[in-house]
Amino acid sequence: MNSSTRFFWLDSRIAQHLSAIVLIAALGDPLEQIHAQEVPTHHDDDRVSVAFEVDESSVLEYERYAIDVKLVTDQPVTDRLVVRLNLSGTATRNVDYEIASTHVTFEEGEDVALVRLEPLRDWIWEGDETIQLEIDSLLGNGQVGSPAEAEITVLDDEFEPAEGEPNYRELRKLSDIYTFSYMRIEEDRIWVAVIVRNHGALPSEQTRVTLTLADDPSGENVVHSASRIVPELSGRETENRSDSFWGEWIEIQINGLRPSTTYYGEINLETYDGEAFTFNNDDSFGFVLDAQKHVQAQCDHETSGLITGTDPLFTQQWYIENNGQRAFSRNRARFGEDLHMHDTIAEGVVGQDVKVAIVDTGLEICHPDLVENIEADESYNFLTVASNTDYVYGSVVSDPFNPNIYGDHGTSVGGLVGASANNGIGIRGVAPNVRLRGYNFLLHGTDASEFASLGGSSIEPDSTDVDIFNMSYGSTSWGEPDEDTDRLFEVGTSELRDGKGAIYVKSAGNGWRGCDAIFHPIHREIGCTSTASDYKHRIPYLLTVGALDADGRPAPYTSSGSNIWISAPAGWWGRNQPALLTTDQIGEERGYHLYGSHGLRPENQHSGGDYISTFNGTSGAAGIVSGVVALLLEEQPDLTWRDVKHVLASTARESYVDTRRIRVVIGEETYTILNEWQLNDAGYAYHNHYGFGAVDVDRAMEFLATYEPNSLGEFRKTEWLTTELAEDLEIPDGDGTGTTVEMAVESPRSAEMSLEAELEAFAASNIEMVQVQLEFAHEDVSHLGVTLISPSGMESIVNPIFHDALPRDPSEVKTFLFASNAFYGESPVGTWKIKIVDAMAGETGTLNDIQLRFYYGAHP
Amino acid sequence: MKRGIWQLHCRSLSAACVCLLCFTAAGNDDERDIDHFVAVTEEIFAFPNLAAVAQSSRTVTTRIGKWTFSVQQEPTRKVLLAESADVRVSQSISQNAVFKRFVFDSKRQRFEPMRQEIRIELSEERRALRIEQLKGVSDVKEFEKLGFAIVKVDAEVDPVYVLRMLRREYEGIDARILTGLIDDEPM
Repeated sequence: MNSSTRFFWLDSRIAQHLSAIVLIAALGDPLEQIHAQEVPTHHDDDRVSVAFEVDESSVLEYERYAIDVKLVTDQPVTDRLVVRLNLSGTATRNVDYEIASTHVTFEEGEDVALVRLEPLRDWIWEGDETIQLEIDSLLGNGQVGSPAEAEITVLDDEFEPAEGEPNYRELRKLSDIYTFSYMRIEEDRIWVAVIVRNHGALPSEQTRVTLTLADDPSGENVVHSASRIVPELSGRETENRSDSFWGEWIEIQINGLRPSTTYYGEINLETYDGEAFTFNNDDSFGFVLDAQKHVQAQCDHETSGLITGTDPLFTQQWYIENNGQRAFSRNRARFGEDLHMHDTIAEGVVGQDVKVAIVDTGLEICHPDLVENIEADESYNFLTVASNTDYVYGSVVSDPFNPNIYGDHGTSVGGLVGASANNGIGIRGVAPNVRLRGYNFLLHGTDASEFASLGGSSIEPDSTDVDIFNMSYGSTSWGEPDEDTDRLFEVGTSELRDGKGAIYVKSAGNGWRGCDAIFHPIHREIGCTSTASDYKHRIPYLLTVGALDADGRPAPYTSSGSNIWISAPAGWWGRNQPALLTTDQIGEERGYHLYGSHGLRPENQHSGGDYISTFNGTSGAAGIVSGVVALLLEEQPDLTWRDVKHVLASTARESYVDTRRIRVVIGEETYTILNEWQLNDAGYAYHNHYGFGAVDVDRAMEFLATYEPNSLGEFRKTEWLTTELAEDLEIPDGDGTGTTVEMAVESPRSAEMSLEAELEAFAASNIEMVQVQLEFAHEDVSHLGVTLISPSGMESIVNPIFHDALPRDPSEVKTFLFASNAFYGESPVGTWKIKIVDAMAGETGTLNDIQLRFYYGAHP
Repeated sequence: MKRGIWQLHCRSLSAACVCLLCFTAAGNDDERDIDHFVAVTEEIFAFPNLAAVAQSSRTVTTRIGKWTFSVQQEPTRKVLLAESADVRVSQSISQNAVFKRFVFDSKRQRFEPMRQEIRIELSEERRALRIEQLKGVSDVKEFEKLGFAIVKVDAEVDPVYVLRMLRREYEGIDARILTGLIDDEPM
């Protein structure tokens, strides 16, 4: 007998608890505990033989989350069998890799057991390392077979330093220029504002921007061109800064153009070696000249009478009913990954007369699939004032028509919300009987127009009677707290809808790949720019929406972060993987389809150029959720804005529940950069990629059947609660241990004594959002990750390490506000922990001040 | 009104100091472009809106606190400069520039384009309505429930000019020019 092979009859009590023992293997050796029991042995001839069966002998340190090493028996085991492994090799456990346990269990009837090895990323080029696994001993009726050893190589695919460079861990920094444009349209000329910005860390090089105008969509027949030198633009981290952006007006005389012609404009910004991205180095603009040589500035399509019949493109709307269709892309959607609204449609819930404002680039109010749902004279066009720099000659106030022919974002979002159903054409919106209006704030980016579009104004326009504001826009630059924004949403949620509050549905951002200034492989796991960048996501009044693809995973662009409330389908780009099918600008000569040759084409008999299959983004996801909210408000008009958020959080489904926690080694310590799905103390599951999960309409409707509106108690917020730091706290440099500060919370007030009754009520209250404000004196705040941990142990990463959006301006002390939805429903009372980790050695600093603020209610 | 009130020289940039800092030629009430440096807030300074192009080079300079500000007019462009002992920040403006008026944000140490908007805290009801009558004001949007109004300034008028008029007409008015690009974009 192999001396390492021992056999025991398991004590039944021990057997019952064996799995628990394996789980706590790190605390003690279960074999040692079991040895203490007097148990008989099996006869040799019953024994199964255990050996390794290695399918993969290597794992990439960065590219793979984990590898499963297989242990097999020559026949199914007749009783539980536990295998103890010895680990050796050049790789070090808990530094280079993790293994859940060195004890592997075969349950009765099984002949395969898996050992999961997870490489830990440490950002050090250290070459390949090996993990040796050896069967050490067995507990149960088995013997060691052959091979009894396995070797796994951890291939180091992290940054390899160039020849002669020292081993390093660093953030790569580059410049990143991009261009965008807008038009000022006068009676006899068009001014195109061409703007170039550098969002990178380093200065850009001098380059050239060229504008061309052609009268054919291929751009070959150029009728006008102009070119300008763009000077070097300083980067975000340039100490002595020159211009960080450049912009010039380029004039196009209409005199020289032909009437009744469509013109296609391109702006091209030459790239140079070392620029981070080039995909935003182009922009498009274009316009239609009518017979009088005026730029088309109003919607002029005539819809001929009411038609009935099915919506012919509905069969491709996977986001409403996913039966594995391709939606004009190469691959199929994953069956069932949709809004789960089959029953809701069957019951005829259509968002009847719920008022939705599309706050966007425009809205084609005469689009044949929208026109029936447009509220007459309630839309507003901000471009009609001649003194505006973005004036459009011929535009009218009640028609937020977008004169640019390269797609109108608002029209596509509007279709997702409320395209008509059963009218014999096109698609159906999620809520096909809503009342739509458009405010083209995004073409007239001023504070006044935004406030006027979001319920702040009762004349020109009157936006105070809107139920749902769809905000499919945002910023991936860092937004500072803004008191006026707070006021707007406080008033909107407390006074509109007769005090029930308007619902503000906001896209979470497309910042996953938004690494403009800093680059690190870790961004593949957590994204570049988090949802925290936009200040509006850090206040409780909005419903922030992330995007899922047609497989139910996070879409490849969607920002991740603790600010997402919920996720909804949006898809990829519609070439290889499905995107969203929705309305497009009317006709073949205008619309997003001008950008490519894939997806639904104008030649399709059901399109005519009025629809596209390539729309995506968190914009699309937000539009879909606005439609969902309209369904809820039809079903239960008394819902408050908080009720709506509560219903969606309570009924969301966890998408891809097998998402794993991701940890890395920083210095000598492991640090969690992404948590798995976590269940908080109030029973809500949360994940930074999904928020509370994917929208489930039928479940939400079912929930409403027993839900009492306005039952979440009074909406309150605490004062800023602070803790006295004895001194500024050093944040350990490049060390996963970080600095953790504990903060006891027992009262909503910072200084004054609270009454006992108030304290009791506060302890029994339910969090709706937590804000944390931190003051740092640090040389590079992009190194810092911030995790908030509630008294229940729920963790929320409120700022990811290497967050591209954090401003790295030269001020010595920087105050940052972060927020989290992950603690929804928990009690605020108890000891909170705030952990700050500096993930990159080099620049150092301190944490100088911490404040917490809770928004809360009293939930049923 | 008494121009003198607005020509106070503020040696210390305290929070209470909301005066306009006049440097070169005193502001003419009728001119639409301001030809001197102006403290918009204690941290933000507006630069004079000299013509983008000059026949010959010309430089206008002033010193405020630790900063030296200057505008250089060159044959093809205008260059704004903000310099302290350890930092030099510049912004150039061509004749056809989309953004022609700038402020310098001394906290963030960068130039920001001035928007044609002025925000006024509505401390007295209806005060803003009369503002529409001021020269250079194209519109006043009152957000009564939010407690402020936004004054839209004609594209060809320097907002600093309107700000100065406002402060002159309404003593103690809480008004500031809105600055910076709005970064919101379709998502």
